[in-house]
Amino acid sequence: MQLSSNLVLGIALVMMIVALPLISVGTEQDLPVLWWSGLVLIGLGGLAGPVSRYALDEDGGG
Amino acid sequence: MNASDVPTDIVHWLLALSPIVALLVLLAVLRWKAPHAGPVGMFVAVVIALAAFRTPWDTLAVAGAKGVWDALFILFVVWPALLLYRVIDRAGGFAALRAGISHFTENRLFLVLAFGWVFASFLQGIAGFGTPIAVVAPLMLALGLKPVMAVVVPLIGHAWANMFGTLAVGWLATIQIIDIEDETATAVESAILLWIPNIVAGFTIAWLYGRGPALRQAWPLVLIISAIHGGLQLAIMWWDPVLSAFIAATVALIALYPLARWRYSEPDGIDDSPIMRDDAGGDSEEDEVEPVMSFPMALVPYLVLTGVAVVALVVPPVEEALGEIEVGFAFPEVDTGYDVVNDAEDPYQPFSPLTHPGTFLLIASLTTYVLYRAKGHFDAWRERAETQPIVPALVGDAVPSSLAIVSFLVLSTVMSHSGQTDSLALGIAEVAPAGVYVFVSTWIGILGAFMTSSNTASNVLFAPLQQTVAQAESISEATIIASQSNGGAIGNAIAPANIVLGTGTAGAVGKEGQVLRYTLPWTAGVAVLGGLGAVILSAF
Repeated sequence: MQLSSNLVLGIALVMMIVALPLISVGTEQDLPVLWWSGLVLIGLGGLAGPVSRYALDEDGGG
Repeated sequence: MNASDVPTDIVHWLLALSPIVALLVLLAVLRWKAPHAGPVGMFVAVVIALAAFRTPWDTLAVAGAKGVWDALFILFVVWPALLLYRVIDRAGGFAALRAGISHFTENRLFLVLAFGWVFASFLQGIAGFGTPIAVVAPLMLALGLKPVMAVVVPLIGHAWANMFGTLAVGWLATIQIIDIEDETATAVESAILLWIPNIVAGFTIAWLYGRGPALRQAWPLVLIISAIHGGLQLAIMWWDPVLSAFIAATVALIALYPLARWRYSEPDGIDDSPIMRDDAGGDSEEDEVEPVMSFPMALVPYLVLTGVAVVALVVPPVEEALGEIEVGFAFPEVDTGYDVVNDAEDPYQPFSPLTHPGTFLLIASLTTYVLYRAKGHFDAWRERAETQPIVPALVGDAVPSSLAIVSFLVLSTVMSHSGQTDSLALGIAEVAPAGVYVFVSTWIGILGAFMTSSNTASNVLFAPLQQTVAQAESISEATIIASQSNGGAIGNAIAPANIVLGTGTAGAVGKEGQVLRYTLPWTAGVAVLGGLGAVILSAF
């Protein structure tokens, strides 16, 4: 089954928003695991855009 | 933010410019869609930050999170605005609006200017955060404009009102972040320069609609509206800058009625407007469908939106009470190897949900939904026309736009936290002689607005630098801050987040590059005029 572009972009959006509290708490409380997790989530979320362009089914939203 | 040792040599300057160039090339030249292009620009900024600007990973993390937070302010307009659009569309509201407007006046040139310039400016006067684009683009579509032009027209039309719009939030942020020696002179010079994008917008929209014949018809309207917008805003500067754009835009909106009666009630006679769709003349199948609601009923969402916004923001006790609720995240101080220091903030940019335009749009959406449902408009319209369910359509529109906006804002915060933004602005300041700097100060304002999609953020980013250069080169501080503010306003016409807001609500997702092809030359032209205006002002 092909993943739809919108689904991937939606997951990417959620990942980037979830990163926000992780980085805030992680950097404020000096917990590198938390802020690194947040940074990775932003990176993976950002990758969704270019990936959906080349690898996924377009469904009108992308 | 302090930026003592940030490198400004040509190599670092070009590297700092590369994320913006990458974004522009992907959008305007290669015509990538915004949710594809935005993250690439973001990654370019991250790589440059790590490789050339000595940015530690924790600084990048904080910058990224702040960018996501900044984007949420805009997303809280995008989602409710798209919801409002989908609710109205699902109930056949745009068909009723189109039919009602054609009874009010048959002059489409007048209507395009009335909605795309005057109403968009009115919304910017009070709401901001991209609301004029998100609300007016579907209205333009209902008038018969092509989807890309439905975005271009309000982008150009609302730009001038950004500085003193949203009850002058840009101005208030500017005087909070720098100590201005003569605030009245600065406000007055800002209003003089902002008159330029205002009047050029009116003439540009008329020209886009029908070239020479449209200009010959529209010039009295454009001059009168611009005299109200620009002249009233300027006059009010001596009294209260906070209300200047709101009052000017409101008076212009009221003036539309007598102007329509005076000489704009008959058809404009321009049958081959390049910005109108082929089906805009009323022969399409959709236009033949009888509306299921009255014209006043179709106006309810806009009346509710305006009423709620006015009560919440213009009545001081209400505004103060609603503004007391704030939420936000804390971030520690972070720096770079070049001593670019970003101070700790707790909370960073607190969010006041009850005074945010997104809440007003949400109230308007829900009120409209309940009213139209009670009146049976959804069922009635479904029997007459093809419709789309509200929630899936909303998600389909909003998700790609949202991802694009988040990536634009992360790009912006990564550039500012790593010192790339300072390198760009300081590099220009170092090589430009005083006279040239006055001219290019507008472009620095535009750069800030392009990166952040906000006049306020542009001024917060660059007003301190502009003031420092003005003092160092003995240039009029009032003129430079006014020029920065003018650039910050103009830059909103090319701000990617604003464009995505419009393409999302006008059914033009993926055509952001086509929009830029219109707004980029307009912005450049107005920037040249604005720069020349600043040079003239600095001579007095």
